[in-house]
Amino acid sequence: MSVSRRSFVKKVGIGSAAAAMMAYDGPRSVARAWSLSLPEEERPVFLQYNENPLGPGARALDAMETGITAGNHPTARYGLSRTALVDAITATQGVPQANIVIGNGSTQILRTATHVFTSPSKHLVTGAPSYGECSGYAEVIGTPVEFVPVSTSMRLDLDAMADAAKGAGLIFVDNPNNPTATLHDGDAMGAFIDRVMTESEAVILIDEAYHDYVMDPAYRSEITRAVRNKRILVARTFSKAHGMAGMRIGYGVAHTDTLATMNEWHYDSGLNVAAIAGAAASLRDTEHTAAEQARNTEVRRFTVD
Amino acid sequence: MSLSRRALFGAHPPNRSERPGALIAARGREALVDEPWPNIDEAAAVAPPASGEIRLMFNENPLGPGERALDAVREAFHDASRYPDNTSPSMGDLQAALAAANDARPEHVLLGAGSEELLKDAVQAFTSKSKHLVTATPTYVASARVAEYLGTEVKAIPVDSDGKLNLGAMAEASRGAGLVFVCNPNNPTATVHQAEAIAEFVERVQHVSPETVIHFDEAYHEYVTEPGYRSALSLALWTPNVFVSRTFSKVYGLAGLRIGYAVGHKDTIAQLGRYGLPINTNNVGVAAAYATFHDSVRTRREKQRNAEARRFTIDFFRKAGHEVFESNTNFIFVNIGRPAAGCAPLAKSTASVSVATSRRWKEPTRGSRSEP
Repeated sequence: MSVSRRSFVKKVGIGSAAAAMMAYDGPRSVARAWSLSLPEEERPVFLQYNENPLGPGARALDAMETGITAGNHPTARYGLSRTALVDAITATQGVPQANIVIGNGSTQILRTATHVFTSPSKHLVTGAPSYGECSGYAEVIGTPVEFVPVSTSMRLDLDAMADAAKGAGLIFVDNPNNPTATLHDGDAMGAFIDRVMTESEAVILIDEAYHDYVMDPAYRSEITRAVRNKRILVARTFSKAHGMAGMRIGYGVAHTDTLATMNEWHYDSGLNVAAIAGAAASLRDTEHTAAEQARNTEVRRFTVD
Repeated sequence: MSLSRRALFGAHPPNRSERPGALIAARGREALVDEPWPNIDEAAAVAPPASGEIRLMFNENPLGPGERALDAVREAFHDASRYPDNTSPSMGDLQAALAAANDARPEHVLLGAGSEELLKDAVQAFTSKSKHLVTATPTYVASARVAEYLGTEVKAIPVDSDGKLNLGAMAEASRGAGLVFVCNPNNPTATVHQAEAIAEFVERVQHVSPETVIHFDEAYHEYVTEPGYRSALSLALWTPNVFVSRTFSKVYGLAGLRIGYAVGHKDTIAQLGRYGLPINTNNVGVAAAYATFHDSVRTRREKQRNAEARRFTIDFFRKAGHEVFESNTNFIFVNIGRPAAGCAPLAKSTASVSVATSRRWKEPTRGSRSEP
């Protein structure tokens, strides 16, 4: 879909105002209530949630509508099977089935990792600012958190994070980093991982929520390494490029031993049947993902410039 | 739903001579989970429901959700790129509606990804290595499983000879406990306690152990027909350390969309909420629940349908000479008086008419009745 500059600027104008208004002042529901009071064409894009304003792709919608609201009442049945989604991840990402865990959003993967790999004596290392899920949960369970400020170029300071990793249970690396939007390329991540492997016993959790939006050719996902290395876990989400934030579905990739440790605590009975069907179809709809990537790149370029 | 007796049981009439008895019953979502109560064999891997199949072991609603819910679901798919606290209806809208329906305020209500998430959160929030969990056996097992993982001691009190929770013994065991889990009606025995017994239980627990939190799981609340029953919800609103969990998975037919909720004193709910995922429910489930829970006509009809099927089935088993605990749920617990091996033909027979039955239990150790 191509973005009309005029409509986009108009929306961003309103959206920015909303962001400024709502950033610190109140819960999301306030922003939502305010937005719903506007005529539909004037409703803002909620920039502060990094949602995909276009919604799920047509194939995902088809899969959900035909699979979920028709036939033998799938919404009334416990959705016990993850097969459709696991198969789609295997087919599109090249990750073996045994190395995949599904979560109630990638949030649940982040929480599970924080729960099983940290403790009051094994701290969490995270960037500042970075996505706050792990650090927020660490606080709840009494895990100390070492916040490592981003560099002057707003990038995660991987060296300082490796320095802070001695005695840590988990290092949270958001790549690209939310909210600074910056990226570390494959070489930088490789050097960081090597250092952590020799100097610490911590598990590295790499959150690739924005993976589909990365255009830097030097970027590499770490999922291949996660399959082999017991101390690397990669998290992905369907909330962004796949336009399914509402469905609460994400996944993790790790070594089978690492997953076994996680699965003692992780429960996946919180997954809804529509999310499984929709996410599987969306992953296989590579055309839609490519189109969404192009759309986002265009808008981003326009706005950054 | 019409059941053909012959199809269901004709091929394999129960044989009472084969003791020791095994019990066959329907259960909820925990059917795939081990439980401390000794079970004889694991459920086989469960296939997705075939056309029209009734999965008794999951206590699902075979009729599905109502049209209002399905309409809401179809509409919500298009809003699925928004976080569920930013959709219409939002998580906040559902929370507020559930609060209003129960004369409560939103801070008394917490949503869960099914009630199962709330069960987990409660054990995490209120127990510790020094504050044990009191539960029953057999009962819904999620709480005990979480406690075991966390290294929390579990005191599981056997049900009495009528399959009812032994509330007296559970209250005694609550001294120094972090949490008491009371499944009312109880899964899998299907039995219910009346309002007075529940109120008395709360009083006793608060007397012997004022700090202990009491969790009433009312997953089957809407199916109860016992006139003396009342939800513990209003009690929970005004009593510190008491909360109730409910689910949209049963009477509302939304098991696949994972919506549950907890209601209680605001301090208890706030403490519980710290352990839940911040955005734990999906917008489709939120929309369906929001559309359906006010539909009292449909709920009443579903309750009526269930009561009729339940009466029919219980009467059948009793006429055939089997002990059945009185059920206030959408499942029954019946002693078919067979060893484990004898259950297989029954399961096979019911499967042939698209009815999947549950796992089996050994006959419970008979305790004394908890109440005269």
